[in-house]
Amino acid sequence: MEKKELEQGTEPSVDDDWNPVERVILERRSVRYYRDRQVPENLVRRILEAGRFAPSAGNYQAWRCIVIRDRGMIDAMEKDVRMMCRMLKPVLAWETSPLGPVAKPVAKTLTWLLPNKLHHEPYGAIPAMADGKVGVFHGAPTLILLLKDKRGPGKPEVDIGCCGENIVLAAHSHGLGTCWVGFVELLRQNPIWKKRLGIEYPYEICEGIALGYPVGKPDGMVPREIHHVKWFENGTMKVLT
Amino acid sequence: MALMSFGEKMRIPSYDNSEHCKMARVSIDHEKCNCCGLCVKACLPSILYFEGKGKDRKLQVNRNRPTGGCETGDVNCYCVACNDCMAICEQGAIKAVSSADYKYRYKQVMRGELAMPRTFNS
Ligand SMILES: Cc1cc2nc3c(=O)[nH]c(=O)nc-3n(C[C@H](O)[C@H](O)[C@H](O)COP(=O)(O)O)c2cc1C
Ligand code: SF4
Ligand code: SF4
Repeated sequence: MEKKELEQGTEPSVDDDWNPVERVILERRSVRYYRDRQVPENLVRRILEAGRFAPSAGNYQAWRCIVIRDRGMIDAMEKDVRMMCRMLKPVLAWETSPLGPVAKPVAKTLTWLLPNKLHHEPYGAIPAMADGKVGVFHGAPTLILLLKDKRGPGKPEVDIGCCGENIVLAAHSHGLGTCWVGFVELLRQNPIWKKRLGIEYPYEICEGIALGYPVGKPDGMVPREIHHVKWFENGTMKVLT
Repeated sequence: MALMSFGEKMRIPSYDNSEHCKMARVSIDHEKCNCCGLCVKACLPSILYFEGKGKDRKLQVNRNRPTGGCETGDVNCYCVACNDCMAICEQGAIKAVSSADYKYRYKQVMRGELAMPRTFNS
């Protein structure tokens, strides 16, 4: 019954009949260009509610949110993320490193030790952020910091992912734009920001979500890679593409 | 057969070697593009930029590695095939046409081509 109601509200598009929930999920795109207009407080609080009701291991809800809406404070955080990037750049950007020929083997060893943190994509973004070529919070008027309760059962990062994605999807359903900002983790151990934001054990910065009204219409469906799915049924296995 | 050999797992590709890092390709239709600049703002690695002035202004893809001056040759450096440029473009002028692939540790496995969302209704 409920499904039918949902489907009635959907405009048919090219060759599909997505319901409104699927539409928000499929059309959500990361937004990196925001209007100056602030998001009303009640709307931010409403979308945080979506996060509060996310699934979590053992219903432990290993998350906490900090909302930052002062331009000066967001800019100061951005500046310090860039400062961290500038400290990392001399090692990572081996072509221009003051360390000379030693830089490349050092950088490759570090990548070998930290294969996720120094995957090709963040690896390239860090020097680009150091030089101010890549945005950090993209001028968003509101920043939501997702903190992790380090005592969370199982894999608390997964809880944070569920909570954050609920927040993001609720935001897009209201015409807001969002962008996850993983690079806030560069401030995780920073004593100045821990003090200023009042972050102490058992909490630590895990992820950031930039939030605001987008410039243009960034949401829309796009092509993405197909991931092969193994399917076991009736004693056989097939790979779906 | 294993998806990745032990040798592949243990070796980090050289990020400045275009043989090791085949980046995603983004294609621009200059006839349709009106140089509004929205995609430039949307692009995660900020690889889109304008070259030239006035009538000759043209959207371009930066092929330099962000970590230094070296050219990556034939590959469109650091495009991640997110297609955020395509989503924001109102002229239908830009689109990522293939995704990134790496050698060794970061080799893509069990993945296919880019495809739009599918309903499997028919
Ligand atoms: C955990 C996480 C961290 C991310 N960190 C950043 C970031 O620091 N900066 C950024 O511009 N985008 C960031 N993103 C957004 C991704 O780049 C984006 O989701 C991806 O390119 C897919 O594009 P889409 O969100 O438009 O579908 C992050 C996404 C996730 C899930
Ligand atoms: S968004 Fe489209 S029209 Fe605007 S500059 Fe980019 S490709 Fe050109
Ligand atoms: S697909 Fe993504 S990374 Fe590539 S040019 Fe477009 S916005 Fe930039």
